[in-house]
Amino acid sequence: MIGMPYDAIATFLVFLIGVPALVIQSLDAEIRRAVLKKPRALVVGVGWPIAAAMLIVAMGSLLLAAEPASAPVAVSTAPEPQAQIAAAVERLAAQADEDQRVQSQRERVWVAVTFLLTFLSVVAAVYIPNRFGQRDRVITDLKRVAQKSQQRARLNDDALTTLIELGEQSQPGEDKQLVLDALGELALGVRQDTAYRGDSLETLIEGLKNIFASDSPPGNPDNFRAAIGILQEIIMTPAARAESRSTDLFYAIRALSEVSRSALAHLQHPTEIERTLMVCAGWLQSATRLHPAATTEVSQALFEIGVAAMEKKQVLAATAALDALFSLVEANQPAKGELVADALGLASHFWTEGEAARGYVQVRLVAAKGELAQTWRQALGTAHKHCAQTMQFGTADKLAEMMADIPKR
Amino acid sequence: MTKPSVLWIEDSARFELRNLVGPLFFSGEYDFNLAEDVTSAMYLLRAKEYAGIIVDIRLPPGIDPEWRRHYRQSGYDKVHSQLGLKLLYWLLGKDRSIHPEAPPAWVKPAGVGVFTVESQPEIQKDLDALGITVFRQKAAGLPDTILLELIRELLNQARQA
Repeated sequence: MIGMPYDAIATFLVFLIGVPALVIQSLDAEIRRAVLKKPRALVVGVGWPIAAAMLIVAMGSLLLAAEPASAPVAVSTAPEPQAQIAAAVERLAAQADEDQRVQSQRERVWVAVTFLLTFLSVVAAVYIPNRFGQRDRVITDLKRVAQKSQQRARLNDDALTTLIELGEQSQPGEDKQLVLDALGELALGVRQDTAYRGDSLETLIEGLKNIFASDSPPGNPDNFRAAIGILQEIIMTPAARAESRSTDLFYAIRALSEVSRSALAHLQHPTEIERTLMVCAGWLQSATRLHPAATTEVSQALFEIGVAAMEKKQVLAATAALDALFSLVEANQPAKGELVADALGLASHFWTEGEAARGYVQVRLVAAKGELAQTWRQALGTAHKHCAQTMQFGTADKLAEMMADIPKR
Repeated sequence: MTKPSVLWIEDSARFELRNLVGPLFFSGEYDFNLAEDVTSAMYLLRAKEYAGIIVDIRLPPGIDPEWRRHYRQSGYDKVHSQLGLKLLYWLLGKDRSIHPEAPPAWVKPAGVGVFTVESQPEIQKDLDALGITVFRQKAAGLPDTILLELIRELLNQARQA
């Protein structure tokens, strides 16, 4: 096409193709993975500026093609040479005018095309980084898709899984927190739905646990607090309360134990999470009022958190777990089985910790004496057997030490 | 006889927590829970009855949309939003305009105390309106057993009421 500004058009097209390529390359790996997992959205989001540019160029070309060609200038038939010369000059002048008009028409069209392409490039330069280059935007999009399940009180597992994977791969701090906030909002939305029956959040709960698994970048204290908060609220949710065998409840109790222990294992200064774990112990204990059927799971979680806290010298959290266990023993008189085994198992860690801790736990044991279904010796023997059978050999040894000490006192 | 349950609604006891709560655990007298925001407190109050509730005036909202609305309306500032006070008006004043959910019926003024940085004159009018008489101001120089003493005073008052 004569007059088409090929250089300018090529430059714009390279820009419009280059911007998304640059944006995608500059993304953090985990965000890029999440973006590339939705190829249709990516093609549409990246492709429309290029398609619009091509449309603009095509319209410009069509406009010029539709332009009537220069009107032919009549040839003079005058016999006189002067008249023929004058006519030729006139013809040339008219031709020049016509060429000038066509040229200026072309220029106007290409100026308009260039202006539109410039505008489109500016829009694309703002839109594409905003649409694909911002972590919070990507997370919001995933959250929105996750909410679009075909069934009420359910989540779209595909988008939810992508969101969880993003959380697993994100750096501790603000990046992980954005994902955790989104997961918290998704869980809240499901829990508030009247159709919720306590069995819709398995993937989300499992995901929360995996976000802090050992091969993920560990979270900071705020990240752990957020995850523990989401799980606590699932445990206390009224819909789960209505279903005595709510699967979400049991998953959430187990996940709470795992995330709490992960916090103790990963944080350089576990004191930052001590308060949260103390609160967590209280919540777990209170949850048994709503879900008495979950007492065994709760006592196991309290035992696991308490032992992990003792190993990390986080005495307040461990004491809160032990206190919650003894409150459960008190509430379930005559107490027996795994609840007693968990309470005595954690007590044995205090017992072997030193004189002061032993003195503290001794007072609690004496107070709880009448609350057990068995004698102390029998209860300790049962707890020892339970711990040995469940491969908790360290606790079993501490219980054996406690059993050996008790007759002496 | 089971131990009395006590709920402390408090978000900022970070540094002194061990010193304040340690004596409580050591006493072994109470079934103790801590809630760090208003939503968490609501969850726990739904789950069981407490013989004593101690409330801080400056509290964050937690995740509940209604409490978050109050917090947003006060410019995301827990000092000015005084959500603890709003929680008390909801619990004791049964003010459903604060939160549409019905407050637990078992909460009585005699079983509620306030432990906060606000001075008593600042909130005396509200305390009177709510019928709360047990109050301690958080200030420098308080003994580590302050929480334990406060709980004992509160439960003693609740027993007499």
